[in-house]
Amino acid sequence: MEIPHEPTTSQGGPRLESLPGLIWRRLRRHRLALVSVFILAVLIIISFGVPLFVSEDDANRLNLRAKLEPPSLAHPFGTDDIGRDILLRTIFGGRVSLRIGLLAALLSMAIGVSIGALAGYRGGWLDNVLMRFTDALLSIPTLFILIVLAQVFGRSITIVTIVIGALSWMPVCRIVRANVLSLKEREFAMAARALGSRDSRILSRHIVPNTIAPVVVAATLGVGRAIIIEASLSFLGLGVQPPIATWGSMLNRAQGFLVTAPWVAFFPGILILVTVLCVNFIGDGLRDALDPYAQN
Amino acid sequence: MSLSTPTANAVTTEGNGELLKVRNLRKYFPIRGGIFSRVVANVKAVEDVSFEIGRGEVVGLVGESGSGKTTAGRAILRLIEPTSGEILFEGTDIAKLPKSQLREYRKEMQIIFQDPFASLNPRMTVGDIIGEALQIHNLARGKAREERVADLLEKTGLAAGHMRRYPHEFSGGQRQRIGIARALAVDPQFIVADEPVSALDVSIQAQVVNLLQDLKEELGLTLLFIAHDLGVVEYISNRVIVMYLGKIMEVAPAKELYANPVHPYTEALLSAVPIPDPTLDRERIILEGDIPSPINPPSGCVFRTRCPIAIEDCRHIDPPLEEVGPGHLKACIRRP
Repeated sequence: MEIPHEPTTSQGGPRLESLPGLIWRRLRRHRLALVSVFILAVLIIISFGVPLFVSEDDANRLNLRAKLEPPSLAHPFGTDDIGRDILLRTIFGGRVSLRIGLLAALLSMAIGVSIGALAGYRGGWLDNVLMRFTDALLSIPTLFILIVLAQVFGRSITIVTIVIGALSWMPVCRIVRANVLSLKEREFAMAARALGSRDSRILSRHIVPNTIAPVVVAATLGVGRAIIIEASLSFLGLGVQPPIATWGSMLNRAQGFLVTAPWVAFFPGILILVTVLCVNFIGDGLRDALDPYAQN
Repeated sequence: MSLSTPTANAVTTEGNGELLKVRNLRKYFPIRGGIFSRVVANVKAVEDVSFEIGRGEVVGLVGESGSGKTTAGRAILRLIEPTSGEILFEGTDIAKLPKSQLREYRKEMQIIFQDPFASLNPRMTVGDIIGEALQIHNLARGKAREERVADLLEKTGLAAGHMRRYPHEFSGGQRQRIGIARALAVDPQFIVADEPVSALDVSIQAQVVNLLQDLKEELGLTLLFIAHDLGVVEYISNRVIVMYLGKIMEVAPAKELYANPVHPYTEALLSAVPIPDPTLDRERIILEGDIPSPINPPSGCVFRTRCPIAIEDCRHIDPPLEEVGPGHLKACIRRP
């Protein structure tokens, strides 16, 4: 019997578009997100590019004869209370702050996705144990644990990154678990089981990829959060060990001269603000771009 | 619940022997409550169902929403674990197989789902969706896999070029074809088609039913075709099983069932099938009320609360499935 074809747009039509392509096209229409991507890219290039040509010692060199100088040609951002160049310190500080922000967010995403997926998929007592643990961590003020951990484990960049990452995965975990709970009952997951897929395959190929949208959004916002946490820690004098510059520790140092030498606080402060804003706008844009049900 | 003898001898129209034999299948979903999560009640979705399907046969499974037909179909494939009962596939009891051995049988038994939008992973290309089974069972890889996927797409009325696209680019009918191609990828002997056309437009329904019919002929498939509408089932089935509230009400060869329904529930279902002739006058049997709760089904005959001919005895007697003609079984004490 002849099977009538439904009208299709098929057979090598022009719109052969990959999913990443579609997402990029949608993101491009989100003005604010696009501008943010650009600004963040510039910040990253400068923060990681300049240190290739300039030694970190230049950023830490003090010059007691040039204390608290206002912005000038020699020092475009001015100097701090022991005569260090604020422009260079902001750049080197940006490298540390951005690295901590990105890596901590990545770590929290990895932990959150693994625990959330396991809890949601397995269910039962394992789910209970994991989620009560998550709740417990959520209910303790993060900054408090961070202060204790920073005291115990020291203050290197790596340790601060790990500590921040290990304490900010809980929201991602809850998002993933909630998504997995509904996804595992969906018929395509059942179809995979009917085909003989193992649990590991169903999770990795069918369930986790479908939680990507909310996870990417949460993780993007997590970058901003991690930068702020690092800044708070440094501001309290518990962040990365001086003399290594971070935006937070520069702010900390500027406390005494907010009125007499505002530029000391202004540049690192405005960069924290700009970076976190950019990251949040990108997160917003991705949220819209990744929505599979949105039109185009 | 006395359901031992009669169905065992049910005639299978194709006569090539049994492929699947379901014995006393039950599926209860526990309802937990209280602080200790004790089981406080059970939803009796499938209650003591037995039937068999012959090789190459198409068996329709009908009943309204909540009759347990989808649960039965999924329990047979062990997509949900049956509470008790035997599922003999070529003599092997699948219900008791450990997971590792069950995977081998996955190749023989497949399922087509009702909702073509929920049944395809939106993040995978059509080629990956259809080719996944080939990968899992190591049936074909690389070029051979691509060829097989192209072949399956063409067999189901799509084009080979579709394999690089994502499900959201297709219409409901096309998606259902993709679902069918996925089920066929492992060369199964038996397919549970779980309301494969209920979610489609009427104009597309016929196309998909025809496709299944053609594939069945071509590949010698055996089908369990689940539907809530007797009209669709009439066309494709050799035999029809009518379920209500988890139990079998009537089983008969398709022609016989439509010409000569015995059970009052079947009569009511048949009277609801639309006839494309507005001048034709006929008596519609309107069932009153809703299907009762499967948590606490009526005593005796489960249909008695809505049955137009129920008597006091129906409250006490659980009607056994009895033979009324060759291959024709009914569970009703009011009909001889």
